[in-house]
Amino acid sequence: MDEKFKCIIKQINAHPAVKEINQIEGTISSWSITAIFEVSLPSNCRASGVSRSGVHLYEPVTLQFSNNYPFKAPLIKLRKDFNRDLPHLNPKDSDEFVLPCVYDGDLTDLLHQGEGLNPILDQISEWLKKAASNTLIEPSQGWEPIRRDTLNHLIFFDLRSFRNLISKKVGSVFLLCDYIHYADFFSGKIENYKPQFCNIKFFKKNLFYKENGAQESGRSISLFAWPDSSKVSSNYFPENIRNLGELIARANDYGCTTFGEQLNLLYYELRKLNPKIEKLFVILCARRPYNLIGDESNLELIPYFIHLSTKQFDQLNLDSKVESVIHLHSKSPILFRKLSFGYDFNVNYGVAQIGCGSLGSKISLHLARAGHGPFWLYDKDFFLPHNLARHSLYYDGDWVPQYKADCLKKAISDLGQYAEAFHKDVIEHIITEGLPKTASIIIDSSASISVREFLMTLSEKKAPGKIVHTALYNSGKMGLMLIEGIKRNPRVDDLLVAFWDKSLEESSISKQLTTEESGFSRRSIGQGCGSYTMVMTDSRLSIYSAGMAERINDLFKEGDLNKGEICFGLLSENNMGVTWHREILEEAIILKESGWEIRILKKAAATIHEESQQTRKETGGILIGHIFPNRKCAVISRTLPPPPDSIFSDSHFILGTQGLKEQVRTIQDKSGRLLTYIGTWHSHPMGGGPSSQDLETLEKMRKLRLGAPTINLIYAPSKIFTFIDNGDF
Amino acid sequence: MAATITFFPVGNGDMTLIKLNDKAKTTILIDLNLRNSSENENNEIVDVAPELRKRLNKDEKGRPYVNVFLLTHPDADHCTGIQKHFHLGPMSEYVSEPKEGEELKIIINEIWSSPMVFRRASKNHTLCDDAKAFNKEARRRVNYFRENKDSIIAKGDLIKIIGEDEGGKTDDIKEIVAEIDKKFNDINRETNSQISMYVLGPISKQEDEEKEKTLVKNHSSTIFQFSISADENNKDTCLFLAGGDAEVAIWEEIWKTYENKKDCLKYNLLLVPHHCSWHVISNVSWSENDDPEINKDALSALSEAKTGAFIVSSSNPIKDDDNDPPCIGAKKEYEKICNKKEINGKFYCTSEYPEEENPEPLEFTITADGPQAPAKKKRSISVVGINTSKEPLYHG
Repeated sequence: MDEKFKCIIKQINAHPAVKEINQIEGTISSWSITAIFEVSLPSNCRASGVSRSGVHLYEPVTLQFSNNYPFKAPLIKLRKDFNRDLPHLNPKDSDEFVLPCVYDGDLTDLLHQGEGLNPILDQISEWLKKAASNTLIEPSQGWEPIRRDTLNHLIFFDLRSFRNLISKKVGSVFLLCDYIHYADFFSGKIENYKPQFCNIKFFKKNLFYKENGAQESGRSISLFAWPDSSKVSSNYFPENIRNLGELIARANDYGCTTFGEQLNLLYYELRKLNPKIEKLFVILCARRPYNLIGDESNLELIPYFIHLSTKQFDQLNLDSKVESVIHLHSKSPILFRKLSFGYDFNVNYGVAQIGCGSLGSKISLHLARAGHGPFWLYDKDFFLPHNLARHSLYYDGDWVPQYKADCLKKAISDLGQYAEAFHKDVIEHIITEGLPKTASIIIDSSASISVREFLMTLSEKKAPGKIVHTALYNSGKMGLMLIEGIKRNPRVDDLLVAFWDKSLEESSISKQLTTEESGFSRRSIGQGCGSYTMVMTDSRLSIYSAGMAERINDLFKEGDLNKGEICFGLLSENNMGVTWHREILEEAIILKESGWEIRILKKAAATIHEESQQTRKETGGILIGHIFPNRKCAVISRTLPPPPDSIFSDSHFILGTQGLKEQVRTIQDKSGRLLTYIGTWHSHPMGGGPSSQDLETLEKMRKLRLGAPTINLIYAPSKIFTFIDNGDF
Repeated sequence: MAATITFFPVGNGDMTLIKLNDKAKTTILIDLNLRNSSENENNEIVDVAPELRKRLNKDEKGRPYVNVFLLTHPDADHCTGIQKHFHLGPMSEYVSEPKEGEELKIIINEIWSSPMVFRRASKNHTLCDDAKAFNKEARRRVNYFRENKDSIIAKGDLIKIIGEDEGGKTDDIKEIVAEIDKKFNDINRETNSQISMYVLGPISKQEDEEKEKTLVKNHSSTIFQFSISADENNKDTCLFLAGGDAEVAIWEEIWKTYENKKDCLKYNLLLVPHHCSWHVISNVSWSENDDPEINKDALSALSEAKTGAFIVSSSNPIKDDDNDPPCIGAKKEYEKICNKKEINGKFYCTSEYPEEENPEPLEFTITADGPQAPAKKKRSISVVGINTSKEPLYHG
């Protein structure tokens, strides 16, 4: 015996629950050690030494070690006559040892907690204690479904769709089922939940099978049976079904009393088929006294696989082989939501993705994997080899070009989510077709200013979803995500100007807005062919796309899509991560005048209001913001106070000039010329619109501004007046 | 979660938490001995406050609470720490943002306390500060009830009086008195289907002065037989007998009263009175006599064990010496009960579980087949590490 096994024996002997080791058997490849565990029995059973559930005060437990120990946990075996009606037992044939499931996880991991074999011995001790008082199941946690996770055979179906088939009265249905059989492995898939006819005519038309070497696949029929609503199965039955006779008896135990006759019916129809279909899936339903663990239903679905020989027998052969099958959820948004958030919030958030390039594809796939959708995907470009350097998709290098939108559609469809792809120019497409009415968000990852500007022109009706603008700056030194508020207020341009305004206080943003290197350059993607793109690694891009998708996930999870917000992230000095900042932007005040749209951000509006309230005389100041001349829109982010040489009186206000030039220059410098002096405001405490003096001043300013538009505001008690000079626009 | 009864290792002192398997996971704390480990020079006190707190529920504002705090009698080893860890006074004075380093105080929804026990204790010795503070809070709640009899009384102001006070002093508030020799099952003014309490003690005020004096000397305490259910389908599967520090004369008296109603004394789980003191079962001293005589009636009162019963001594480790309490002689008597063939029970000492070097809370699970002791487990290397670092190790 080598040192390793001496050490194992020492540890087992030292465990407080172990009374003694009574047997050690070894072969070249494995060792079995049988230890006697002292079980904590409930008080009423101490005198008799055996619990009502059949657990003895002293229980032999065999630990079977392989040579791979400690990188493989021992197999834990109980005596073969141990009560098999208890939960938390692993399924195996009944004449073998009973295998308890002592830990909800990988037992081998327990070996590496720094406590040697002890955590496993502790789990055995605790398991036996609970088995003794029949408390392995905790009703408050839910009913533990029959353990099947050590089996080979799989079937994929959607639980909810199956449960929807169940009626209050005992019954059954036939469903189509695809299967594949290779060596010892069976896998089945049910996707069509429409009950089917059990007759030869239908079978001939729909069932088939083909052989390809050792592999057999085809479409067969499956039988799903359920009990009457009054039949509740509160007992665990051992998972030891081996043949059809036992399966029919078990179906009756669960109250699926129509199962036997329906199977007979099926058998007689299948016999008429040529070639024969002999592989069937059967799913029984047991009504449990309470909901299954982590499930909203008490209906446990228990699948089996039957090898039905129809050749030799005239009637159903009760000795036909039956095997247990593991159920797996079909891929579905619901499954993904449960895995992503821990629960399903039962809302489908549609996503329109404009731009399916590096950033857009990553954000969309993140959201699809979190169970969101459906998706509408917009991109007119082909997926080309150079795109592979930064993208969420793969491309087999095929010389037949494929659209990015189509590639992304396929990937999202493969996740069980609905997607549509469009490869027309997005602006043209939206002009003619509009945006999907059911999209909750419209993500613009086009990196196109024209698309961004076009989206600003859409009314709330034309863009019913929340528009989210995403962008990366300077080879990924900074990332920006702007999320519009309800009814498009704040809008992306409001959020953008508010973000630029932040550069006046925060040098880290200013640095990114003013840098000489934009990160963009022309990269050769073929001879005489280049792409104007940003140089950046795929991994850096992922740092940003993950953060952006996280925020959208949170919005969906919180279910509050009303507020507008600015999210910006700055790359850490070591390039390993991004620090995101997030802030809410309140609604902008919108004024319309002479074909112009003037949007005053809350901060600017508040200053104007406060300064006007402080004096009964006329006062005023400079408007700082950005003009979007193509669509005649100005966004005012802040005001500058009147210079010290300004004059305030009851009838007029004269804006001074002292220090003004320097202040404006600083603003321009810090914001990379994105923000500047765009006009003035002044108050009319007594009310009224622009005076003749005001219009004269506007004329004067027109000359000074060399053709740039000028926005002027008058703050009167009841209303804000605007008067605008178009300049050369 | 299953119903549990947890005995905390608090040395010679009591602290027991009952947690029910009802929807609200109702908690009843019996006595309290939360000593400051920092104040103890040898650092030998197990800091059980975190162990208690992690078992308590929190209200909608995140404040820890117990549904009931039952004080069996006001000795220091049964109420130490109440001012430090529990909120006393009206809820309007609750500090929801405690100072740095301090924790939120535990709210006591309802106090169960006996004025007769308090009277007797005050005659016997000066009450400690914690006992005085508790008494003040109990009085506040009684007065509050007197003044607000007709309105709904909120949690945090509730009190139940265990046994009538002397001289008809509780005659006007009978609604909140739990009478002796009767069963009740309301907790926080609501009937609870998972538990009932049979009140065996304190023994009422005695007309005979000598008799009353004896009760004063015998650590008069509340004595309850709790009947606890595993769940809705398995009712009353654990009878738990707990009687504070009540000593021999009281148990003798109890036996006389219940000799013919033994069901009231039955238990699956017994918390031995007065930390396994010899004086619980004998009228003479353990250390001063070679063969001190046992009071058979008192021992009989504590011998109505059901099959498989567990007997717990909440005390320091029990050594074979002259010490009392805990007393080895008393332990032997309890073990005799456990060792009866038809019983096959088990004796536990809180300071020795799972081992003397590092005791931890002893938690019984209430199952359909009675209480069940914890499964035996190996101590974690980290626990052993702390233990090793407790005292200097000399190396040559």
